[in-house]
Amino acid sequence: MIAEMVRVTARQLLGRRRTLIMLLLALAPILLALLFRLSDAPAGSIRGDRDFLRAVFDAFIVTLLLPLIALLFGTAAFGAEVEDGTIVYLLAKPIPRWRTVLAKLFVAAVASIVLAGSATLLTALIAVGGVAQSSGIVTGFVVGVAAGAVIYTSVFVALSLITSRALIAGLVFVVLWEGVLANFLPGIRFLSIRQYTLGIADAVGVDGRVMADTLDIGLAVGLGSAVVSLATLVAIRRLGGFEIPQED
Amino acid sequence: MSTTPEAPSTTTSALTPPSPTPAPKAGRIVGPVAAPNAGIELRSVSRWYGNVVAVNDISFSLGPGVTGLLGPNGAGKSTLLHLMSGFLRPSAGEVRVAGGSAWRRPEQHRLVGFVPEREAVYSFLTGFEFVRFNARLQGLADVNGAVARAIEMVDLADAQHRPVGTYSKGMRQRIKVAGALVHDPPILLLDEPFNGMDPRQRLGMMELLGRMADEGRVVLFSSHILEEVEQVARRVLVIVAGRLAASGDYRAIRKLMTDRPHAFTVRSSDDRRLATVLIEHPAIFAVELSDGLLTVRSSDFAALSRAISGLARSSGVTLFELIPTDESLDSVFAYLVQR
Repeated sequence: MIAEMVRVTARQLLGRRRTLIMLLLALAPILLALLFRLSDAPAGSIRGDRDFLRAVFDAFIVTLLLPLIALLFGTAAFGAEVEDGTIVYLLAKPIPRWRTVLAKLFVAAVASIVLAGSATLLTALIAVGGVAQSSGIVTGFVVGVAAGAVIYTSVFVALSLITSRALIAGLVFVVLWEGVLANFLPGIRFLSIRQYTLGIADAVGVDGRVMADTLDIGLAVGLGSAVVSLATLVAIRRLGGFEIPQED
Repeated sequence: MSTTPEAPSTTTSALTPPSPTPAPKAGRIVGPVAAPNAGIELRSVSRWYGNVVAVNDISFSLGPGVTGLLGPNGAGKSTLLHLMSGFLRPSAGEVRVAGGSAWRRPEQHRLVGFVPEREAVYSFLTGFEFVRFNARLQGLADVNGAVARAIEMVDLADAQHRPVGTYSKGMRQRIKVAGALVHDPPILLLDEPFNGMDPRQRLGMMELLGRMADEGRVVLFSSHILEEVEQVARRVLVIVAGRLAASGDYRAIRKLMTDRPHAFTVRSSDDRRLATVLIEHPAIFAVELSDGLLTVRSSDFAALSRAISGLARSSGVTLFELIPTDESLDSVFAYLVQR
């Protein structure tokens, strides 16, 4: 029953043009890494590789690519059904709403993990030129991105059931809150998904701290889980009272 | 739950015309339903959006049989069906379907099949996959058997493995019906099911609805076309501007509609002479000749159409044309509301 919902949602999400745009965006850090390898500046030096990787990871992947991918899939999980007018078929079923929300969240999170995670993995592997010497840092980044994808997606799925302008609201959240405020006001670091992502990446990257000044792993995981739980509860509640938009 | 066929809840005389002042609630219920648990019941239901009232204090109850929900576009038919399907919260009153509240009760969809008006379907699925999607989400035990039966019922077996995106409008309507029927629900709600169908498909759909009703199901479909409704529905609910304008047996409502004052424009070889004989006929209460145009008003359409050719012939006038001037459905509805 749920598998069917997952399958159809996946096909609906992957068939959208916006997904293709995200695919192109995900290629950007990979291309950057290729350029970095081809240029002979700090090639071979571990320090140089790591500095580059850290810069791309922090400035592009975690700040831009990850939240945008999660925003796209998270808001489309229900948004595509509403836009296409197919949500009636989903809601006209004797299925408890929490199962519907979990199925949608699952698809959106997996899609985000696959896309953002593989972009991160490829970027890191190309930048460090092989797994052996820096497997720890690569693993750290990929795990961090995967965790961040789940947290971001849950928030955006909930957002799409709160407002019909979830894409815009989500963009404002990503740019203003995550990008500007949480960056410059250290006091609200605790309320930033970007910080949770960096904290987890840093803790998992076993061979030395690569990110300076990140959240403690316990805090990052604890707060991240709290955000996922809260967002999921909100989404279930909102779907329970969801009204189909009327045309006349 | 019981789905035994029962007599329609309305008798031929149980026509309830609208009243200018709000009538007592009980007065506008279509009639007692023997098994309310099996059907649909609305109690003083209203739904508004801000200042706009989409559904205004509607009460009725329905049992097994086909009922037509008739009204002009924008009258609130879709809103009403969405309220019954649990897709909208009533602003006031209560909507009960299959023995429970329709709002916030996903379980009711085990007993209800809903066919939305919007053409939208998952266009990337084939017809078969779409019906299977519905069957699986209903948690059916024999998914393949149910899917095959439903597709057979709407006569789409040949096209079932084509993507729905390639279907014609009429085929989409039918695959939507198959999706709504796949779990064999005792209650079937259809929003403008005949839209986009050619006459043959329309006939097939009408037969299907009739068959569903004969099996003891509650079938409610909306339409803005009187002829569609009267061909299948024994009972009619007329909705105008969010209000229940009339309800009851379709023949009574049909009579109400045809017996309203009709105006006709007549062209003949001698309009003035024809006017003088027409005014003497009891079925005609006004004759007007202005700007060379003869307008005749009658409250009995059938009698007028029988009489006019004879009258013309006996007075030696050749009749060229007889055109109703206000036959639009809107004017029919407007008349019903004014009554």
